[in-house]
Parts: sequence; structure tokens; C-alpha cells
Amino acid sequence: MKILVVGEHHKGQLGEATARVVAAARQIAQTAADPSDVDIDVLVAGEGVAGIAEAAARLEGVSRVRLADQASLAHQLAEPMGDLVAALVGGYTHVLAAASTSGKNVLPRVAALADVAQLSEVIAVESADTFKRPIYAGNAIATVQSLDPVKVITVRVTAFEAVAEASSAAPIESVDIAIVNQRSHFVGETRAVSERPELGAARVVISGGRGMGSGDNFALLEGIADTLGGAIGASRAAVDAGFVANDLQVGQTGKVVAPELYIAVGISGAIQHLAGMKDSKVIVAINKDEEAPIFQVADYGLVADLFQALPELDQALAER
Amino acid sequence: MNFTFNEDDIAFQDAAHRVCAEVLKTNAARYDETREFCRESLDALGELGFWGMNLPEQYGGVDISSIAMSLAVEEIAYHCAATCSSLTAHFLATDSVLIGATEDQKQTLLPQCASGEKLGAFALTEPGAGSNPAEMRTRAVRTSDGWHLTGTKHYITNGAFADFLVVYAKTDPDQGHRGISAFLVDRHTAGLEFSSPEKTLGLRGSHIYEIGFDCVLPLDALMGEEGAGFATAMEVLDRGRVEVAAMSVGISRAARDASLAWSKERIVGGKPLCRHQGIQWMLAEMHAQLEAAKLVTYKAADARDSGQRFSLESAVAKLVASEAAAKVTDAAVQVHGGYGYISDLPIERYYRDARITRIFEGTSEIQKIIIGRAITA
Amino acid sequence: MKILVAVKRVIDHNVKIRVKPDHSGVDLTNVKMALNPFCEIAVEQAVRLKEAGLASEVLVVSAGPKAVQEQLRTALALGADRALHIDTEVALESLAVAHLLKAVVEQEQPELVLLGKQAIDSDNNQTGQMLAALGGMPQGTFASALEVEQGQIKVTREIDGGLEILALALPAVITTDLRLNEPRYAKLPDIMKAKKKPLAVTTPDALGVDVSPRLRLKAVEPPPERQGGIKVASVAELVDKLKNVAKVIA
Repeated sequence: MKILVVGEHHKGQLGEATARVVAAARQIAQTAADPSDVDIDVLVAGEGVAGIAEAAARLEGVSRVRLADQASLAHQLAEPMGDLVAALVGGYTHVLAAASTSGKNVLPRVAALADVAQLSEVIAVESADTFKRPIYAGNAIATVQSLDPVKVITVRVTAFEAVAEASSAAPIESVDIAIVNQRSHFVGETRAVSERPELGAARVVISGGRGMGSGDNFALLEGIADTLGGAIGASRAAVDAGFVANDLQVGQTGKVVAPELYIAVGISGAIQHLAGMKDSKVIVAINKDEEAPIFQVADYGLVADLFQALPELDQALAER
Repeated sequence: MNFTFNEDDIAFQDAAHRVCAEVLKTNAARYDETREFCRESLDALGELGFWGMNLPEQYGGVDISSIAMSLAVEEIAYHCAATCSSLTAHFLATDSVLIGATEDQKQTLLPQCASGEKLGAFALTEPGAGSNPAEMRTRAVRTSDGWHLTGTKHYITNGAFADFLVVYAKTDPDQGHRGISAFLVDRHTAGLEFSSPEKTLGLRGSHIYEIGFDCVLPLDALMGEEGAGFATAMEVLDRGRVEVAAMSVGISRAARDASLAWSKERIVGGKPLCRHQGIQWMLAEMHAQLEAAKLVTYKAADARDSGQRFSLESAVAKLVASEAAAKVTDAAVQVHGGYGYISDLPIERYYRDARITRIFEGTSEIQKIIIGRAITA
Repeated sequence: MKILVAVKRVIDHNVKIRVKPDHSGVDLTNVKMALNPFCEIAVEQAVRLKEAGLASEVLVVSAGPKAVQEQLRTALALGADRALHIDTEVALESLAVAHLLKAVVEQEQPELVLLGKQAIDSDNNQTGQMLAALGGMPQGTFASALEVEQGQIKVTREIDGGLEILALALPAVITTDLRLNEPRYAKLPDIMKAKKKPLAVTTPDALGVDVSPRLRLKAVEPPPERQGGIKVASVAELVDKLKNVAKVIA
């Protein structure tokens, strides 16, 4: 068994995602007869990425870092990256990458060039060839076995704990395959879109209710929403009280949302509101009234004064 | 008849579903709460050709089967019964033109009605002549260069929002119903007086008006032939009753679906509501009533396409489907308990919206007269 | 410029899915089916390019059983010019679809291929990239804006934490993200007209493509039931739970 992890990096930093993908690789290695015999290589590809390779070499469980440093790999465009990884596939039993926009962009090309299927967004390792992955937006979990000689896999990084730093660094070896790319060109990028996602499509929603006290106090939610890349919502009570515009209303008569994380702040949990958010994956409620019905649907309830809890939460999230 | 819908039927239902689930559904509660006219929803349907569903292609329509049309009407009512009511009122007006007007009048008017530019209203009912149009008092008197129309119509859906009205009036009071003629009246004709919209129990987004007439119409305002109005109106109502039946089915289906979903999620005594036999029986009855209503509605729609008179089938469909809607929406309130009684959920709206289906376009009692006469003839 | 749009028939996104009791899959009986929302955006984009005079023809293709013709007709009603149905009862995997599309690309020689970024049933997010690799084409995945220029296309991509702009030589593959456009609704007269537009049928065999599966679906289960909620004592504990137990924040 031999596993290749495609490292993820941006602006000279190795992403935390890579440490989590290595963790998934280690779980696969654990299914081998002798896990210590399994090689886990990390590929660091790009232009001027030697420093990143060094960071990757210090991840626990990594046997070797393969460094491909050349101009054609700048910005890690899909075409040269796909060609490079496909050229390296021989000899590996597994090729893994994060199910990030970058991993999703590159890995299917690798699978196609290697003439194998790909498993996307894997959340659990069952055996060396069998994995669990969500389908239908997480409303079902499929257990899928790959019949191909090489398993090409993108990993949902939140499902795996990042590996720690190793005591000694793994060796770094250069990859000397010249990659040519003339079909695609990088023009530019904009980072950190400050614009919040649309309420109905956001991965995280933080909503305020009557307990917010005023429209101005919704500012307390903004920092948290921005840190989590979330949208701001409101209960009907908050809209009726004139705190915020009614296009923010979550509920039966407003928007129906089902984000991965829903944070209800100062919301009692009227049935009308619950109808609009109860399909959220994880629900957090912050309310000073211990008896508030919202706590009955919340996965995590915090009985607290929101004016103390929100600044604390904002800070804790920013520091994490 | 065949109960497997064909490709076109499904395509139309699907097209209706898309726009209804995204546009009509969003507006429905607001219309109900504010009594705002359902203009936005109606226009969204107009842009997509739904205003011409009842018309053949030669007049700008789409030549779809009555089954497909019923399915689309049902879908519209499912999401917003008020919009459905305004749209089917428009169909009563354009059906009048299609059945009773001259070829010239059809060519001039119908394409604009189909494309969503001109909204129609159907003005038959009067304060003293509801179920029996022969008793109408509105008069149209021939003058040297036109017609002088006087009288009052009420409960006229779309009224002040309509671009034109099909007004039924007596041109020969001695001839009973054979003395009734239809007129095409432009909304902006001098001498039309609209009341403010009536405060209704349900269908609050679909406005109804009392309209006073004391106006002079041009000669060509006469729709088709003099004296043919009653026959036209009866044929129009045969068609309209299938639409009311489809609308009733739509409301019932919305109430049934909401009740099913609610009863699966609401936990009482440690188990979902739907696992309690008392509630399960209610759900079963709702479902059975809905299915029966669907069948008679589709049968009437099928009969409408046959080209034969279908007064009996449409009366049966209207009677059964509207009475079912009353029972199903009432049961939906009951299944929801207190939550069914407050406006946070749409259940009480379904209940109010359904009530008129037993009254307009011929009360249930009138349907029984039609059915009774037909089967004892 | 000829545009090829590939579309998929999926469960309507409003339908709450049900896992079969024997865990063999998701129950599809009597379930409302629809055009995959991302595919709809791809069709819309192709039609807009045609309306803007930048495309000459829009060909829409779908692979699957006869029922996929419903979705092809929807695409025709939305403005595609002709349709191709690749008829097969095999449950197709992304790689097989990519091979089928590659064969169609070879026959039709489009300059642009538009696909949805993923189907909302399998959530694979693979087919466009695979097709691009097999056809030696550049790709612009997760597109939120397109600009067709002389011999190339400029694509704005939605990537983690921002936007990226690429210039791709034609022919190219684009996969659509939600913000690319807001698809129109089909007009009733266009639904009727769509019936008269050409819809050809072919098969994987005729295209010379082996579509045998490479994956074995062993089970489909409902996601774990929601655990009874707990009270946390502090903000620190809350953040810890979200990070390490619920794993909804990284």
C-alpha cells in the first residue's frame, strides 16, 4: 500500500486541510496488514514552494515529501496539476486530496487520466477500498467500494482530525517531470469576499430574535457571521419589532434554511421559526431563558446573556 | 379515459410547479395578510403563457388538453389559491370571447389575453340575480350609434384590475334568458363605477368588486350575436366549473400534504402524531376524499376535450371537489390543533380559501339541481 | 460557436428523500424528478450566449433511461436547439458519463462544453473535470461569470475564500456554480415548440463506450439521527464542541 496526498497551499502557507488529509491517509494505512510498511507521500506542487514542502515534511506520519517546483505549476491550475499528478500515480494505491475547490478541481482529472473512478467527499474509511461518503446533500450516507487498482479520493476535511507535528522531518525529494501548459492562463484573483453569502445558500446562519433588543445590536452577530463565512437571519419577532428588514426572516413565512450550522441567538423558538430552520445539521441556541423551546431542538444550548456571550464567541472564533 | 398523464400533461404541470413553488408560494401569505392584489404572481404567470392555457394556438394560446390545464390550475391553487381565482376569472372572460364572440373580436382581443397583456373579468352576477342569471336587471339599450348599458354587477373578480370586462345584460327583457347578450367593455369606458374591493373571508389576494354601469358603448361592443349571451355564459360556466374543481383539488392537496408532514414531525405522547390511530384515520379520510375529487375532476376535464356537452360531469366535479376541499381543509385545521388556527402556518388560510369553492360559479345546491335534472331527464 | 450542454435528471430538489428500508439505495418510486439545478444554470448560460449572438447552436445531451427525454425536452423548451439522448439502463458513474460525452464531443466538435458543477443526487462534482482531461481541454470549474473573447473564454471561478479569473483556450469545459445566472422558467408556448425540435437517440455501444461500473454501492443509510441536545456551560465549551464533536467549524 502506498498513498499520495496532494498538498494544499495558498500564498506560501501549507493549508491545515493537508494535515487532515494526511490523517485520512493514516486511517487507510491502519487497514493494512502492517501499517508501518505503508508509505504516505505528500506532493507539494507550485512555483517557489520549497518552504511549503518543509512544512509538509513536519506532518506526523508523512514518509516523504515530493516537491514539484516549476513555473507552469504556479497558481496550481487544473491542467498542469492534473498532468503532474497523473504522471506520478504509477506505484500508488491511493491518491488523496482535500475536497476543497482546489482538490475538487484537480483530482477528477487525475482519475480520468488514470482511467479510474473517483470517490468524492469521503467522511469515513471502512477498509482500504471501501469508504463512506454523503450523497443527496448529506441526507443519505453511501458506503462505496472501489474496484479500481488506484483509489482516487477527495476527503471532507472536517471529518478528520489534523495530524500533529512530527518530531523529525521527512525527506524532501524533487520531482523532475517537466509540465507544459498552454491551454489555460491565470488572469487574477480576489480574496476575502466581504459580501456575506445569501441566506438560503449559506453554510452557516446566525440569527437574532427579539432578545437582541434593537436593530443596532445585530452588529454583535456580524463579526461572527464574517468569521464563519455565514449569513445573518432573524426571527419573525425581530422583524416585526422592526430590528431588521423582513428579507432576513427565517421561518415558515420567511426563508427556509438548512445550513450546516445554525446559531439562534435570543430566539425563543416559536413553531413558525422552527419550521424554517429545523433541518439544519447542527443547531446552537443562546438564550438567557432556560425554558425557551428553542433548547428542545438545539444540539448545543448555552443559557447565557447574549450581550456577554456574543463578544466572547466572536473572540473565541477569531482566535481559533 | 386514461389515467396515465402524457408527456405534455407532465411538462405543463412541471412548468406550473416551478414558477408556483418559487414565485407564488413566496407571495401567498403576504397577499392573505395585506389583502394586496395578486398582481405580481399573476404577471409572473402571464409572462410564461399561463393566461392563454384555455385558448387554442390560433388565438395565441397553447393548445393544451383540459387535463394538462387542470393539472396546472391545481398546481397554481396549491401554492396560491387567490392567484388561481384571479386567473380562472380571466379564463371565464376569455372563454366567453372564445365561445361567443365574432372571429374579428377573437382575433383582436384573445392574443393579448393569452400573452399576459390584457386581464379579463366576467360580469354576470348581480345583487338580485346570483344563481339565476335570467333574473338579471342590467340593461343594454340600442341607441343610434351604440349601446347604453345600465345596471349593477357584483362579486366581480379582478374588477378594477381588469383591462376589459365581459358584461352580460338584457337587450330584450321580454325574452327571458334568450334576451341576454354579452358586451365587451373596456375598463376605461366612462360611466363605470367600481366599489372598493369587498372584504372577503378567503382568497384575499384576489379582489372582487361591485360595479355600477351607466355608460355608452360602441356598436361593436356587442359580443357575437344579440340574444346569445345566456347560452354562452352557460357553456363558459361548464368549463369554469372544471377549473373550480381543479382549484379545490389544489387547495385540498396542499392541506393534505401539510397535515401529513406535520403529523410525522409533531411528537405527542412520545410518538409522532401520525402514529396515533385517531389522527391516522383523519389523514386517511383526507387522502381518500382528495383522491375521489381528483378522479371526478380529471374525468370532467377529459369530457371537456371530447367536444360533447359536459354539464353533468363538470357539475359532479365541482360539487365533489369543492365539498371535499371543505372537509379536507377543516380536518387539516383539526390535525394541527391550535397551530392550525393561527396564521403562522398556512392551514387556516387553506380553510378560508376553500370556503368559496362551494359558492362561486354555482353553489353546491345549484350543482345538485343540474345533476338532478340531468339524471332524471 | 457551437455549445454542448450536458444535463442530468435528478430528484427534484424540493423533495425530501427517503432511504430504502433495505439500505440498497434511495427510494425513487413516484418521486418527482427534475433537471439538476446546476445543469439548468448551464442550459441558461448557453441560451444566453446564443441570444447574445455569441453562439450559433446549443446542443443538449443526457445519458440514462428513456425518462431523461423529459429533461431534454425541458432544456429544449428553455431554448436549446436540439437534443441527444444516450439511451442506457446502466446506473452511470461520472467516468462513464465523461467517456460518453467525450465521444459526443468528437462527433459534434463544440467549442464550448457547459455542465453543472455537480448533480444534487450523487454530489460527485467530477464529470466536467473528467471530460476536460479525457478530451485534452482546459477547464473552468465553479464558474460565476463568463466572457467569450476571440478564440478564448475568460471565466471567473468561485474558489474557497474568493474568486479566481482564468483565460482558457477554446474548446473548453465550463462547470457552473449557483451565481452564474438565474435560470428562466419555460414558457408554455415554448414547451409546445420544443416538441418539434430534433431529439436524436444513440447508445453507449454506438458511441463505442464501455460504461461498466468501477464502484460498488454497498449500502445507503440515513444520516445518524440527531443526538439529544446538550447544554454547554460556557462559550469555550461551545466552540470546542462545534470544532471537535460536531465538526462544523474547522
